Amino acid sequence: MTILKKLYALLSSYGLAVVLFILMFFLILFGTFHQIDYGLFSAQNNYFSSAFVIHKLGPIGIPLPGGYTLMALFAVTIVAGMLRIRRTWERAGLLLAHFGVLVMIISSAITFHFSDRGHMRLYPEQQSNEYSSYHDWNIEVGKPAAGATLHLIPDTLFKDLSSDESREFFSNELPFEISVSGYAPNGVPVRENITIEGTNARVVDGFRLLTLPEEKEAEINVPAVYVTVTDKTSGEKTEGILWGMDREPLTVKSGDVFYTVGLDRKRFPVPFTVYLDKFTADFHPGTSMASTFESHITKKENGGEEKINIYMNHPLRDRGYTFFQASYGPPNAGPNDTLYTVFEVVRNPADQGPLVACIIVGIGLLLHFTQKLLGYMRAESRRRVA
Amino acid sequence: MKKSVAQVLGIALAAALTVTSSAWASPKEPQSAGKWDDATLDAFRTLPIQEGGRVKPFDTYATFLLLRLNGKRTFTQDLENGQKIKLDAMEWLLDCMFYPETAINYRHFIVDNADYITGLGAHAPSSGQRERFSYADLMPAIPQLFERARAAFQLEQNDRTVQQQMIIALAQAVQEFESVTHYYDFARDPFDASKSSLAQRIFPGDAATGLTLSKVLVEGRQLRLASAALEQLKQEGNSEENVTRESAAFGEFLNPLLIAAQTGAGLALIPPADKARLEWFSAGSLARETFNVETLDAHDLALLAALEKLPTVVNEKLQFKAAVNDFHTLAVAAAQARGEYNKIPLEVSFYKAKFFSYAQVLFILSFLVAALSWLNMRSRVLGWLTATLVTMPLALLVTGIVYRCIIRSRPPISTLYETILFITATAVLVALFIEVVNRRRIALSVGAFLGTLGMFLANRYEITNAQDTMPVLVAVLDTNFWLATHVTIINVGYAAGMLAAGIAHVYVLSRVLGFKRDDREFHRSLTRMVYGVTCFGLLFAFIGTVLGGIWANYSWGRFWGWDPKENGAALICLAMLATLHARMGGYIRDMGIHLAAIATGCVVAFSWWGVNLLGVGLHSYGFTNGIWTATYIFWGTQAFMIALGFFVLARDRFAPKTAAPSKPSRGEPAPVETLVAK
Repeated sequence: MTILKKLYALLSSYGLAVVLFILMFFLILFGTFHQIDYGLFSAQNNYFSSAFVIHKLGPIGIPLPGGYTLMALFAVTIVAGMLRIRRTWERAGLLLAHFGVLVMIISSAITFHFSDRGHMRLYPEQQSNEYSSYHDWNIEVGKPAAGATLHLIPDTLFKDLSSDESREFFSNELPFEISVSGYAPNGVPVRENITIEGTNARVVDGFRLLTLPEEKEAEINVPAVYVTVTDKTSGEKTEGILWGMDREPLTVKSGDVFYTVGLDRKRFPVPFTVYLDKFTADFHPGTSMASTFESHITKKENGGEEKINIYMNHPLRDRGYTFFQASYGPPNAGPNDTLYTVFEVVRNPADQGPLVACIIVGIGLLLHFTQKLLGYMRAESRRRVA
Repeated sequence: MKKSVAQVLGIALAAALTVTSSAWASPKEPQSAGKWDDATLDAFRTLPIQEGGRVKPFDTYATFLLLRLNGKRTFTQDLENGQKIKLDAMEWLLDCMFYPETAINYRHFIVDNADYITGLGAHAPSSGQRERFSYADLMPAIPQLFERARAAFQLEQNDRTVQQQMIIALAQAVQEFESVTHYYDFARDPFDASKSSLAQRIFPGDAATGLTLSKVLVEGRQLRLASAALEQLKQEGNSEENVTRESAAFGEFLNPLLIAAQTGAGLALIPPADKARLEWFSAGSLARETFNVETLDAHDLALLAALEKLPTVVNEKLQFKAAVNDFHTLAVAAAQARGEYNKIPLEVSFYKAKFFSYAQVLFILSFLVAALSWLNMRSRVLGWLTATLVTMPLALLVTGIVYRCIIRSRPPISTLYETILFITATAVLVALFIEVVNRRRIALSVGAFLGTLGMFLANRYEITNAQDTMPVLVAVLDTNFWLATHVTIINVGYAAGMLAAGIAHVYVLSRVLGFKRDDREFHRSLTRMVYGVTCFGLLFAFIGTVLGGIWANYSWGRFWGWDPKENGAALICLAMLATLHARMGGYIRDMGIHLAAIATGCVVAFSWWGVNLLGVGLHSYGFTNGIWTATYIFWGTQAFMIALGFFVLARDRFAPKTAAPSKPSRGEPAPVETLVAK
């Protein structure tokens, strides 16, 4: 048997399938326990989307393939198994079910690689045509006069920096270079006289950066980072701390031109504008439990307007974008306070993949197990007659 | 939530300290329990009340309140003559409302750590650890009890000790008791206009006598203008001292109204005439409403008048009966006008029928008869009797579930409690189907056992949780389509997992005990059943899980969010898939399938109960102490069964081999039925 045949035999074997099921089982189990202490975002990154993970069970480290690796292996195993299995009517259901699972894995891969997800928060009479990421941030460089961002430095390019490392960024279109250092995934600028544990030694304009413990709910984290802007011509340096909650960006002057440098959530555009006409939240009488909350919006595009209501289980879908009624605020709002609405906005090219897969798998399993059941009933009937 | 309850605790404490001693110092002769006639009780049982966001029978409210305090649906009181009297929830609640001076001596506060409570100053009813205290017993300890409860409430739920959880539960129970016993304080302390000239201006002449809350609220506008009237007194030349005195006298006159606003806030028994108003009135909220609107609706005030009359005539049997009837007629008519009464009689009859209690008894009986029938397998009578005894409680269980669906206008499952009922019914139904097909009495017996276990679990859950089992739903669950599809289907998968585990127990125990040692066909039939039920379970667990993902995609924009509940469902699918593929590949044989089914049962328990208790994710309910313990006990017993299975495997391996079953070839699908020796 050649190596290829052996490989084919291995990939299409029940043994490998069982091993993968067991590995996936423990990966999900450990990832679920990981969530308790470290939150969902950490579990997703370290277990479910990763190539490899070492789960700490007390002092022992258990190595496991990550979710990404396992899903890829599942896809290969299913394809190999479908090629190997005898294609008879008796196995039509099984083939169909496995094909459905393959569709599901492929749609998951498309979602993982090509979907965007974020949120849009609007008070009544506000509008927006972009949504913000939950976890991704950018350093944005722009000109106040132009009103638009000129350059972005995604946090993926500097979030690996330790507190004493720095990294330089430059562009031929910008008259200065930016040095980024002291990145804190969850931080806050504090006055220089505060020197509790977690504060950085570097003081800028009377402030230093305090690194806070990361929240379990990663979207709550607000990053902060030191920047040093060095003018290419004059060599003049401007230092600052960028913080995700800053209302105003850092202002830098080069020659006669002013630039802004700020830290903000990554934003995604949508091809229309959403205007919030009204938001209503109804509660079960005598309780603080919402029975329904609903956003009355106007979708504006090319001079046209369309009135739409978005509420739980009734999202707005348009050209691959989906707006879900996710939540509202502010927390602890009084009865007469104005409430804002929060939409979860998703762009997912494989949105309907799971539904298609579910139908295929359902038909397949139903067909196969019905055949098995009828066989069992016939056998039992024969036994009783005998 | 955290703040509001803490605030409520604070209010209750304040109310308890300020009102308790004075309000019940009535000279009325204390009444003993159980003196309510049937017509009165029926009227109260079918009275509508709005609580927890929905309109329900007063009887339902009484039952769950008594469960929270007493841990039982009935209350037994020791009398001085040594006899005992047993009250149902409605009788008990009426005693609390109308004879609080009697009810404070009812020992209905169940406490798990009596020493701790007596350490706070409470009187010990006896020397046991799990004791029932009366309010009178607890009174010396109440200030400390509330103080400690407030401190415990500041902690995260998962960080609280068992003792702190007990303290909070007891403080809330005391608060609820005070809420009902003080409800009628406003009617017991009449308004006295004699000391306030301003009050006499508003209620001149005869109007000032026999003033009740409803009569005072009729003049709500005048009350609101009282400050202007005081100003007018000044302008009329009255001295500052006189005006101050009058102001104090008027404040004293209004005191019952303030008491009503505070202590009468509990029971929302008045359906508002204004249909746009969703929240029903209690006496207290109606009293507060008088400061928000120009005039109160006459229908609402008429209901209040009928309500406040009840405690004043409670000792006059005929008058009380008529007054109850009047209030019932008005309240029902008002609720009907709002379209909120039609399910009330049905809910009363549902609880009165006790479907699940009878089902539990019959399941126990069926299991006993099933066990008897195993002693004589040839007896057709015992076989039919077992089948009948399993079918009857199943019919009761299904009827009860249907009742609940009609009452709630929902599919069978929307709460954790309902999953127990549904899973039990499904498991028994599938067991009956298997029995119809193979007539071996195995599935029937397992069905009887699972029915018994399921009903016991449902009963324990209802008692331990002690909350309305038909609550309103959060916004995202307000979709009958997804509740009917995803939730129902995945619970069929859970039921199959538990049934397969149940049948696997029969296999393991029979192999351990040598039962039907020579009947290989018996053991193989068990394997076929477990294999078939696992296939059935996989179909439903997988489809249910994916449908859950599609619902999540539809509601939240993501198919899979790695929420613990989603992960638990995926674990069940993976366990079943691993079992079936291992069987197809020939890696496991008869015992292997059964042990895998028992392990899958543990995974089902984790997904069904365990993940809710992890304290993370969208399905974290954070409920009910003791669930972890019960789950650990379950896992422990299952681990023991698996160990027994391995013991049998080891015994077989080292025993002389006589007729070992042939091992299926690897790499080729080998369905179980093809392995059966014919």
